[in-house]
Amino acid sequence: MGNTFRKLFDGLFGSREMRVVMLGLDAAGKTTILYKLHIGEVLSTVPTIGFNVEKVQYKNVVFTVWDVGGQEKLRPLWRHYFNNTDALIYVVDCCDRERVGRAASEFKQIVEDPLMRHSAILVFANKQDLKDALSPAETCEAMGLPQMKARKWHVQGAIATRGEGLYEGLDWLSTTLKQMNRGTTPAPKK
Amino acid sequence: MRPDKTEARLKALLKDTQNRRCVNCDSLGPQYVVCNFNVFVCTVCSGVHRQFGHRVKGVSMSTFKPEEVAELEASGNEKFAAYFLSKWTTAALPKPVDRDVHRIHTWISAIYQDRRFYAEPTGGWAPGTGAMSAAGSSISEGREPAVRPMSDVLGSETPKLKVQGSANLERSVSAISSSAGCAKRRQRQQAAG
Repeated sequence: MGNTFRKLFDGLFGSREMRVVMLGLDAAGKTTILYKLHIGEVLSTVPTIGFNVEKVQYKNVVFTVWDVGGQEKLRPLWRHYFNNTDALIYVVDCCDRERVGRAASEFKQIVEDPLMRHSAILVFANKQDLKDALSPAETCEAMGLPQMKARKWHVQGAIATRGEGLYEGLDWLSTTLKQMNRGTTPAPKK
Repeated sequence: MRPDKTEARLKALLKDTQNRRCVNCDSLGPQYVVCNFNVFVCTVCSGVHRQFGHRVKGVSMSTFKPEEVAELEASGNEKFAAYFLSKWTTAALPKPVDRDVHRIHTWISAIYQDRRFYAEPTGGWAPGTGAMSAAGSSISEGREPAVRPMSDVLGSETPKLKVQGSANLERSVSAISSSAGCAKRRQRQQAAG
């Protein structure tokens, strides 16, 4: 009886846990975003070899965010992080117009993977503070999102170094994942 | 060109004396390339370069096109120093050898963004002529330095070279050098004949 009540209570007010994988080309700003969310500071980051993982709490959702290195030879390893992920955060460097095509083709490969078929997609159009950056709308177009009708996706303009847009993105993620009934409620402590 | 060959060329560049140390902080074994300037830098400096929007590539985890490697072969840390550090002195701005991120930031801002110490090297630049080249490395092997009489180099009013304690050996410097030059030339003629 008490247990049933607890389950109901947790379902309404308790925290959920969600596994999120954050990908994107090298120097897009993934690690900066992760640490801005995690400790609220901008660290001087170095190119990631391997991955960083941190838990980020936003409202009553605990996101376990995996930030995986984006250099060419690390990209084939991305798919090993796909299993059991509730959401994909894809970070695009909007100033790097030269590699936007590359970013789009890598993105396509990820979202078409069978393991990622049910995940929500949040795209951070990063570096909006720099001049000549692609707007979030242009980024959306470049990534081919308008043609993706069967998926839940959202493009969020962001400035990782100032933290702008990051929580707005998480906000969308948490509401969407709740609608999709994704994520797990942590086992009650005994 | 096959990709593995490109990789081998890149690895060879890392072993080149001029690229053995980070161009900013002098730490050994840089593993990153700043593509905008074609220089090799260490991990810490590569992170700071990214803050300036410079394109950074890791030597082992990125892929390089043959053209990119060719560009690196034509430049590298030595050529960069010949241009961008041409007017630089330690007193004006110490190198961030302690690898402190703020110092590296100041350094990159002054050297790369403001180009405070930039100058075209006089008479152009050729590999091995920079200040960073190791002593002696600029002399290419297999070529004998031209023999010239000392009077050509020092002029006609050469002071006499005196060997103390022996008045008999007193000779002028030019005499020694020219006679030595003649002897050498004679030897070569004999060898050819």
